[in-house]
Amino acid sequence: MLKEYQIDAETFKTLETRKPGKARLHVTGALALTQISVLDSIDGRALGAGLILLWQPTIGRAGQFCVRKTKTGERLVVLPLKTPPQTLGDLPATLLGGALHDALDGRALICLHHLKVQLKTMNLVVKNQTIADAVCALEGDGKRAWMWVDPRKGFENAASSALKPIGNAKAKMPAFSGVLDHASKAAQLNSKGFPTLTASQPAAQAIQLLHETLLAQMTSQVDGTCKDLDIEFLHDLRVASRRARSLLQTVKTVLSEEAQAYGIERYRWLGQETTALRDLDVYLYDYPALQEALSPEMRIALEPFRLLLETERKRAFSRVKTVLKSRAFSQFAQSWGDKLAADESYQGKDAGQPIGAIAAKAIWKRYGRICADGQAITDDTPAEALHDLRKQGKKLRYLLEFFASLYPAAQIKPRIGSLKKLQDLLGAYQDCAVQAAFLEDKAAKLRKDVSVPAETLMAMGALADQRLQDEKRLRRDFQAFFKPFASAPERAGYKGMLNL
Amino acid sequence: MYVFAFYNLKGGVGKTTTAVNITHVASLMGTRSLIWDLDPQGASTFYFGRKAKVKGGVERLMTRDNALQKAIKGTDYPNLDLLPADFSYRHFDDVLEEFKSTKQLGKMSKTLKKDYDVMFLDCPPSLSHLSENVMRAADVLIMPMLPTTLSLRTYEQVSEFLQDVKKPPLLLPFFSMVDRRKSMHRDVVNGFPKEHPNALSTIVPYSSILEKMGLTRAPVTATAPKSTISVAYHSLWQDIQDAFARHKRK
Repeated sequence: MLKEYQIDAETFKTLETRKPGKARLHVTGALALTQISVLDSIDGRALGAGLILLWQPTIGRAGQFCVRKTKTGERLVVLPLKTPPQTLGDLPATLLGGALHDALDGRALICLHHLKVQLKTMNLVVKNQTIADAVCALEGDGKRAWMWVDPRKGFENAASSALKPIGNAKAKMPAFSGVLDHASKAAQLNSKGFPTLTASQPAAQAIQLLHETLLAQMTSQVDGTCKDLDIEFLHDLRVASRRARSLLQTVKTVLSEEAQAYGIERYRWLGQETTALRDLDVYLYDYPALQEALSPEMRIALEPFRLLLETERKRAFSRVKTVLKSRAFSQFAQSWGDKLAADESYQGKDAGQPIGAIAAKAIWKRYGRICADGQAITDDTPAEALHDLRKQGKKLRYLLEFFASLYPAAQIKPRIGSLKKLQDLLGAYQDCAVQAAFLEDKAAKLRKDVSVPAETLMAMGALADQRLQDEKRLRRDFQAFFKPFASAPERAGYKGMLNL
Repeated sequence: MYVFAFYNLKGGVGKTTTAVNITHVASLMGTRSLIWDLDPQGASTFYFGRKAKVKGGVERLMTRDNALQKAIKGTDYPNLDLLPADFSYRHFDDVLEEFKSTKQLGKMSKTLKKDYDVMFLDCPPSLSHLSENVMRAADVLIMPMLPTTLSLRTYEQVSEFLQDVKKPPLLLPFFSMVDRRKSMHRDVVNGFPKEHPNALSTIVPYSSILEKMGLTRAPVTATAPKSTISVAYHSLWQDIQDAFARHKRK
């Protein structure tokens, strides 16, 4: 288990001369100014699994990757590496019996938090036996210093008593908890969490909090998107942007018309500029599954399609990077933040109303609209109506998530659950139609290239055909999924939750 | 957690040096490794710079709850812990005899499965009740052999013995301390794999660096990481893992 000792700056400077009792602190390395980083997936999956991943530079250009338990700080594994790992490919697959790979599920590793420190690494030696490893840090401002000690197995008591002259280990470990808190907050921000609201809170205040959270969530993804570390950065950027636009469209009576129009227009622009890259990311991510759906001899024939996707992705990525680094984007982020902070932006007629009433009204209206639109869908209704229903469903889902803190979990969770079932079907239906059209469009492009064999076009045709067959099958299932969502018990569930 | 035992009923074939270096190589890869020095001579314990002493000896170790966990000592290497030897291990057979089962060692090692990815057993050279327990507990039996006629004979004996073991471990023989200048070594090393496809392809050469382990009290993979012998141990660990992965797929 990790032991943390609070020391003062003076002790930090003279540690190497300290001989606590019969023990000796042997300095193995010192770094003038460096940083300890917490690595994790963007949404803190390792933290969620009770693990904290720390990167600490060592002498020379190398460093040490260390996995600790968040609860006790216990060091589980240490790996010397030349550079901080960026993907799971940089770490052995067997690490912690595969538990880390399972927790991260293919996500890239980014720095969630870092601490600027002066660092000393030390060994605690008693009778020529090293019984503990220690890291001593003096934080950037020079005010706080601490020492993390990892006693070697079987020497826990010996290390504690040897270090008594330095002080007693703190049970709460303020420095370790501080690092953990900062990283958890960053992960929470990235993991689409929303602020806790109260029903009586003025709508202006609640909407401001929600929009500011969404703006922060969106901007926190920009760096990762531009560095192209993981396709999920762009995805999360787009989700935050889409949610913000949805909030502007579904709760219209709080912000001023001017602020409302500005936000909708700019978020729409961002969505349009990034759609092509996201689509290509998804196709490339799903490419192995697309191949699997074909017979073994057709799979190889699909290669020119993959190359086309790669080429187009390069172009699309370059475009997105230009947009995110542009003045237009930075001006948008800046002025939208300014608008959200300004009182005059909250001149809608309901700005002073309690958010509980506003949220209930918006949710009930959206639910009613989906029920009405869905009931009007028959076997002959054009596909566009189902696509439109999906968009409405998405807006309802976002509303339920924004205002989840206003309702008891036991009431809101079943609502989200039943909506999710319907949305999954509508999403799969939409994907089939879009993918079939996408494949046909790309096949038309490849047809112009004489070097592309006919087998490629046949393979793409087969895939498009499969998608159209799936689309038909899903269409037949629509009523079975829609009926429970629009049923009397579900309606009563909404009414009960919203106190209507 | 998987259990890898280094075993040969013949002594002086390089069991301990292989066990010490392979455990270190595994730990370098981030594998949480534990080595249990079952030999009362305590050579592995010595190489890792720890005392060959277990409080209460083998009797307490095998009969008390958590005694195994409490006996573990950290080493100077990250991800590498040691269950030290004790002189009382010479009575290991007597203690195990009382359990009237050959599964006791396996049962006990399972209590450590949460803390380690791999457990390595450095076994004494004998065919005893302890060896039977090792064969029941191990997933893989790694058998270092000298390229000599006598050594080959012991391989056949162990192989035969394993035929009577219920759920026998994967037997992986390999040649250690090979001196390519000797024609007999060359002949045996080239001929053996033709008849025994389970033999590992890595050959660990004779090296004077290994003798210095007694002075440095550290694995050569730590003190001379770029030496030929270190490279051979890295390759051997890869071979072992590949062979075990193939075996698991079957």
